[in-house]
Amino acid sequence: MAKNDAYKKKEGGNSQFKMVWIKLRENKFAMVSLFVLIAVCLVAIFAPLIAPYDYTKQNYEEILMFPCLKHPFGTDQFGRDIMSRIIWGSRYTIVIGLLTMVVSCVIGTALGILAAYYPKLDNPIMRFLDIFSSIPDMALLMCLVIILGTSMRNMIIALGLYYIPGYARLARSKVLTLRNEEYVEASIALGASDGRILMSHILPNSLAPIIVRFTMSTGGCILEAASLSYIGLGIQPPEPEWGLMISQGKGFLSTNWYYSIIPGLCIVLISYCLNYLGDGLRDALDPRLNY
Amino acid sequence: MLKYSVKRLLFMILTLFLTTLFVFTLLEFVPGDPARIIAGEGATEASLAAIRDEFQLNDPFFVRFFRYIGNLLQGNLGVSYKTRQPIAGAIGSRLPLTMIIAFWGVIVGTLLGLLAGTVSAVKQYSLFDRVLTFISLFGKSAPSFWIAMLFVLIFSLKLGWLPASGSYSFKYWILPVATIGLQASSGITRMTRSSVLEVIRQDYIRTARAKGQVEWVVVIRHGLRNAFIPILTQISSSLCEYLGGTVLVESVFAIPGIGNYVLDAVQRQDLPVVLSGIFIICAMCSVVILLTDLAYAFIDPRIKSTYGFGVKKKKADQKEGGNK
Repeated sequence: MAKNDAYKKKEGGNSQFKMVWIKLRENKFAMVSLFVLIAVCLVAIFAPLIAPYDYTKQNYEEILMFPCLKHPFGTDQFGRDIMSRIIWGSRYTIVIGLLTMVVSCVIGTALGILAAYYPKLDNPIMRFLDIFSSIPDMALLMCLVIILGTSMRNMIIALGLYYIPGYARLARSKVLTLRNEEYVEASIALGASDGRILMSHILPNSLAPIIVRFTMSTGGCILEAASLSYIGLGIQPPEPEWGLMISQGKGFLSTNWYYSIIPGLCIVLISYCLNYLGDGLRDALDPRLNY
Repeated sequence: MLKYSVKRLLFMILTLFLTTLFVFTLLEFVPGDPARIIAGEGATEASLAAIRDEFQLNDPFFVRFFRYIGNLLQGNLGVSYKTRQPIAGAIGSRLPLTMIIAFWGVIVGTLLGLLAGTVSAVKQYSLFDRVLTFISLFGKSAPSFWIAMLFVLIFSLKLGWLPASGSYSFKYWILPVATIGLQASSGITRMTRSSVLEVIRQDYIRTARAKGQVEWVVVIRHGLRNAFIPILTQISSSLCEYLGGTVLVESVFAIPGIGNYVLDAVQRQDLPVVLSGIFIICAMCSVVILLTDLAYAFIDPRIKSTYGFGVKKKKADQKEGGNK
């Protein structure tokens, strides 16, 4: 087919990574999302340079100002500039989202691979994780927060624990099918050690769904983190966390709608981008759509 | 069928037991002396000892755990540390509200999701499909409490149509149900879309069309019905999520539901309430999951035969149209 030939010309001799990138580039939504996410990361990194005001500085002459040229997103009840607070708050969102996902992805994937590769470990690991995931999300998170206490580190631990079973189950189901592949059988026959088989055959081949899940769950995790802060079990005031800002603005909803609506819009933007990027990655990584 | 149901029921009870043990153990690690939490900061040693006696806190872990289980079996959910009132009564008065909102929310979400998902699968890649994807992603990307506040801002504060908070009559439930409905519909729409897309390429759909069946009957009877298993899973998991997770919506609308009750208890470190609240939430979820599993067998005869409901298990050959 002509289209396949075109693909071959474009992708022939390229590495896997490059092929995925070429396919991802064709998805406009995913590329725009990637661009926005990189921009948000840059904003978070360079927050001190970008933020027009100090996010803690209270100015009682300018309390609850509507968005205007001087304060593009308005000010809160202490006269703090909301735009600066959002710029600083992006650090919390990104650090919590990424760290949580890295922690739960590494632990969850490791558990899943072990459970699938060593049948003896399968039942103990998976049944324990089943108990974990039979508790609805907010109930489990509240339970963990009451034990650990409220701080950013504890929130990351609690959210990380909450996301582990999902990764474990995903990795397990993927590895269960990979175990019977011929190349795994071949390396067993060649006398490769378990460690080598797991690291160089099974792990790389089970990465695709995990990468997609990583992207999409980061969005979910940002929402959960904001929810915890909203009900007062996450980041504590006066830090400029977005969920917390929504909660603080709740009392001013009737008079100053922008106070809680704008931080919410930022959350929506990031999580939209992560979802679109995840969709794009899923299409790009799917070998069934190759050629 | 009965054998399968009983097996599933026993399995559910076992899971629930283990979950309770797990939560019970977790709450053991809550820092601080429970007696001091009950009595307050300035309590004397003597009054602390009295409280420990009253709540039997000195007993070993397993004694307390099995006493708790024994009480559960008798319908006694324990006594709150703070109010000294039985928890069962408080939960009993709050549970119906949470259930009403969660059930109606999920019903609304299911109707919206099935409709939107089927339409966007049939008209794949059309403008309509893209717009619906965008809308359903909104439900997934926006925090529920923020959607709730947006609704309050628009429908209560700007338009003045509906009350913003409280729970006294049907009118007060519309916004919470709409919030949950929007969120639930997003997952259901996406699942319906992908599931129907997979089914609609099957041969029997082509056959149905070839024999001249009306298009909407093809889509609903042959398409949607065969695509329903994953959709049902999604519906039941979102029902579970909202039975336990309405806390965010409840706190925006100040609804005295079970989520708010547990949240209050968490903030005051009222451990028996947290434990029993989570137990009730998990129990409801287990029942939902059990019913879903039983419903699978009714929807898909193949599952029924797998579990041997009187029919001898026989794998149909793939040529005969069996699933491999």
